Amino acid sequence: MEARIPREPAQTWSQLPGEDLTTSALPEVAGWISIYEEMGAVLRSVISRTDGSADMDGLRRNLQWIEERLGVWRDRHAALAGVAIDRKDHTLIYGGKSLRLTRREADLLDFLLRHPRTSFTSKQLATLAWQNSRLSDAQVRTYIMRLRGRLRDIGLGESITVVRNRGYGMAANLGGGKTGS
Amino acid sequence: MSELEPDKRVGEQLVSARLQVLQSKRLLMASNQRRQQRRGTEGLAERIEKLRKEIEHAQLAYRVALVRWGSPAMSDYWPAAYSRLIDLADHLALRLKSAARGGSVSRRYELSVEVEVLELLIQQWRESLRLTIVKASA
Repeated sequence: MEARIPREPAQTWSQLPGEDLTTSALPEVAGWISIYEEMGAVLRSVISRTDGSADMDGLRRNLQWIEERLGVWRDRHAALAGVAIDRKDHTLIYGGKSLRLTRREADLLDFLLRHPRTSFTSKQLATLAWQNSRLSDAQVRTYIMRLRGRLRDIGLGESITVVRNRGYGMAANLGGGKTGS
Repeated sequence: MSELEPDKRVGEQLVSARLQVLQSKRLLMASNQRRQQRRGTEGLAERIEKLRKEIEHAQLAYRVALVRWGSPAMSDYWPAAYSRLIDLADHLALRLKSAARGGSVSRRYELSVEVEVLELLIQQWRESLRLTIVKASA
C-alpha cells in the first residue's frame, strides 16, 4: 500500500508566525532534530545499499521529506536561540550584540548550531563544517578554543561543549537559557 | 554514517559480534527460565528481569549495527532497517504529540501536521516491514 505524504501542510507550516518562541522549547527542538537526523542517517544508509530496489523511490521521497523538516527545525532552533549569522560578512548577532567572526569561525558555528546536541570529532568537523579533511586535530582544537573565547564576550561562552573522548558539540540551551529575542 | 565508517570487513565483524552477544543472552535467558520452571526458584525472577533488559539492549545494538554496516543480502537486514525507522518515527511522533499538548492553537496545529505525516511514514514502513518478513519466510 502506498501511503501518500501531503506536501501542502508542510509548506504552510513553515510560513506560520513563530509566536511561541520560548526558551523551554529550545532543548525540546534540539531533541527532535537529533531524532530526525538519526532517521535521515538510517534512510541514507539504506538507500546507499539498495540500488535498483523497488522500494528505492519511496525511500528517497521519505528522506527528502525528513531533510526538509530538518532544515525547518534547524532554522527554528537558531531562531529560538536568538542567534543569527550573517553569512555575507560573517557577523554573529546574539542578545543585541554583534561579533565579527572569520569565515572559518562562522562556518564552524553555523554547522554546530544546525546540529545541536550532537558531538563531532575533530576529523568530522574538519570534513563536515569546512569540507577540509586535511586539517589536523590540533588545528581544529585551536579553532574551537579560539571561537569559545570569542563567544564568551557576548555571553555564549559555554554554548560549545567539549565532550571527553567524543569531541565537540552545541549545547541545547544556549547562553544558559537566555535568548536574545 | 559518514567518512568515518569502518571498512566492510570490520563492519561485518561488528554485526556478527553483536549478533553473538544477542544470541548468548537469549540462551542464558532460556536456561534461566527452564531452571525457574523446574525448581520455581524465587531468586531467579530478578535475574530473568535483568536479562530481559539486556536482551532488549543487545537487540537494539544488533539492529543499529546491521542497518549501519550490514548488507541488504542478509536476511535480517530489511526487517531491522524498517524496525529501526519505525522505532525512531514512533519516538519522535510521541514527543511531538506531548509537546503539542500545552502549546498555543497555532503551535498545536503545526505539530499535529508534523505528527500526521510521521504517522503516514510509520504506516508505510510497517507495511514494508510486513512484506519483508513474509518474503524472508517464504
